[in-house]
Amino acid sequence: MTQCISLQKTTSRRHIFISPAKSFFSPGRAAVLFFVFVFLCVTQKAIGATRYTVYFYNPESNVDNFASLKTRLDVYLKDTGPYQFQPFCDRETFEATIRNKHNCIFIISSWYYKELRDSFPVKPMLVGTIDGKSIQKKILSSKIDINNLMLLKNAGIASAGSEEYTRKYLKSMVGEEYAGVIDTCQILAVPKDIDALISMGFGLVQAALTTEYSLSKLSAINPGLYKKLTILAKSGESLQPIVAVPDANSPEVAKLLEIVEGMGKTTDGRNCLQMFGIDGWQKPGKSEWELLRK
Amino acid sequence: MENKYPVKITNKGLRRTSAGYKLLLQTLLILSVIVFASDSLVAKGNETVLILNSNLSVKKYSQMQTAFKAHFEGPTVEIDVGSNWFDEKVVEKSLRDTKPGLIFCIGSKAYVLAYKMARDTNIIFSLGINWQRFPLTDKTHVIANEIAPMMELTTFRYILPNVGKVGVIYSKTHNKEWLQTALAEAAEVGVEVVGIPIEKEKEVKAALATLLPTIDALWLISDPVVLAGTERVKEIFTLCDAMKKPVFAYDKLFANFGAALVISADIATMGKQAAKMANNILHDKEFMVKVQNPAGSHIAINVKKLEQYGRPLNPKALSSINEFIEQ
Repeated sequence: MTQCISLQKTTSRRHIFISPAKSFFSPGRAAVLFFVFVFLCVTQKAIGATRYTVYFYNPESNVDNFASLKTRLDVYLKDTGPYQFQPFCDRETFEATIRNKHNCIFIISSWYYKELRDSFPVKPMLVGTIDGKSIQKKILSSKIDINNLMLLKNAGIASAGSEEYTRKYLKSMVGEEYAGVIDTCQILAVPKDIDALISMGFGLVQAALTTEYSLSKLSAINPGLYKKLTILAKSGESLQPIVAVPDANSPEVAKLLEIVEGMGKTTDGRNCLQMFGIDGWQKPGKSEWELLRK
Repeated sequence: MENKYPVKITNKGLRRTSAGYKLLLQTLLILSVIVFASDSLVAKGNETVLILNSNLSVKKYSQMQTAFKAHFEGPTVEIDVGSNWFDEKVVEKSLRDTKPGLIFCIGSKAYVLAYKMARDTNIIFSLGINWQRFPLTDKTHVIANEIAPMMELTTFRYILPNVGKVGVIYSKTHNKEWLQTALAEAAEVGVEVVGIPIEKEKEVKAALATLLPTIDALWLISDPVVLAGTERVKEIFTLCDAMKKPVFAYDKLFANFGAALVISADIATMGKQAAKMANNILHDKEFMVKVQNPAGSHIAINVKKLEQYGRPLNPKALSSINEFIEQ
């Protein structure tokens, strides 16, 4: 008997509980909830889609500081809008990622811009500067006893750039006459110019490809080593890293470009730029356009 | 026609003879295939590199292996000798089966094993702390674990141009030669190095008391007497902090103790160096340096700590910094 009552109570409670729930999930309300859900999903997606990215790829530098770069750049950009920073160390991955992307800008090496422009239409907008100078030169230096290019046959050359970049660049520097010598050389890709110069200093490699700026820094910080070096070849003028935008882009890209252009004017922005090896940007002038067209 | 030959050749005999030639030809063919195949197998075996890793679960050891494989052109066989249950017979069998042209040892444990089992084979020894204490053969090549003093000193000057005098505490037994090299190279870079030798670890505190008031920074080097245990390391950092003297270290683990600047070897570059070395050895290419210092450096810096100690960073050096220590 007791059991029976108890069962009845339970049943009636269940009934009382189910009833309001049924009324809450009425067809009308369910439809409203469904539309709210769909709306939220769509806006969420829209917010995600309007995230603009600064892509970075520089085969002229091997410094693996991407974690620090991303942290600092993301913090800097986040304060200015829905922007983010994405660095790449591998050419194939970079090119696969940027394909068909329009909501972005690129910070790339000026050498790489010339490699990219035929397959991916981009417009250079800004050129990096260091101490107000946008132009750099590369130097192939060696120990004093290797005083001509023929002596580099089978030698090791250290460079802070990727192997592909180093070989192509060296060949353009030494001309057709010595291109064969470069083919016989082994390239040792090191993180920084200073590593390349010091590796040559203690005889690991016979030559180093660095910027003229790094070589002048060496003369100041290690004059003893500098005196033991000789210059084998000097490149023509090239530009510091550049900022480029996809040919087809949205108005928001112009805003992002403005933010990047202004980085040199704030301490935090300048600190970020210095991690790329520059301290400001400028719009390309006549001489810069000439170098970009070459 | 009269037969001049004593053996009479019949049709049946001719058939037998041609069958014999066929058999001979087939045998020769099979033999030449076997000889050719075995030749190429041997050649292939000689180009194989056996990678012995002291412990694949250690990050820098696995990074080294990855970097080596990415840049080495030939076949590799890999053995992780790190497990407690590791059986040396695995290495013995692998040596027998592959007859490697070279053994690439990552870490000391791997090198000791390779030296014991295959000292007549070409060996590249990497990531061994203080490689000089290990026995070497004519066929041993080394990628040293330690950055050359010249590289460290040049980096000090570049990153912190106003640091002119650095102090080193060292034990004569372990680092007398190192200090002499450092002193000679420091003169070229324009940094003054002041060294205080000690014999026992308990002398560290007194040496620091003498040294710290006279220097701009303390240069910590890999020395088992100076760095005898965690407590001793903590004591060094506490004393330096009290005197506002930055500590320059050689391994990132000192970042947790408060190192202001850490210059360590770049493992990826060491992997590339080892791969190039292996290619050169296996292809008898002209090979110049048998013991190589790391060609690349990894720089970590604690900007807050340097600012706190009044040692401003050269802002132009920021592009050379790999990592910012946030502590």
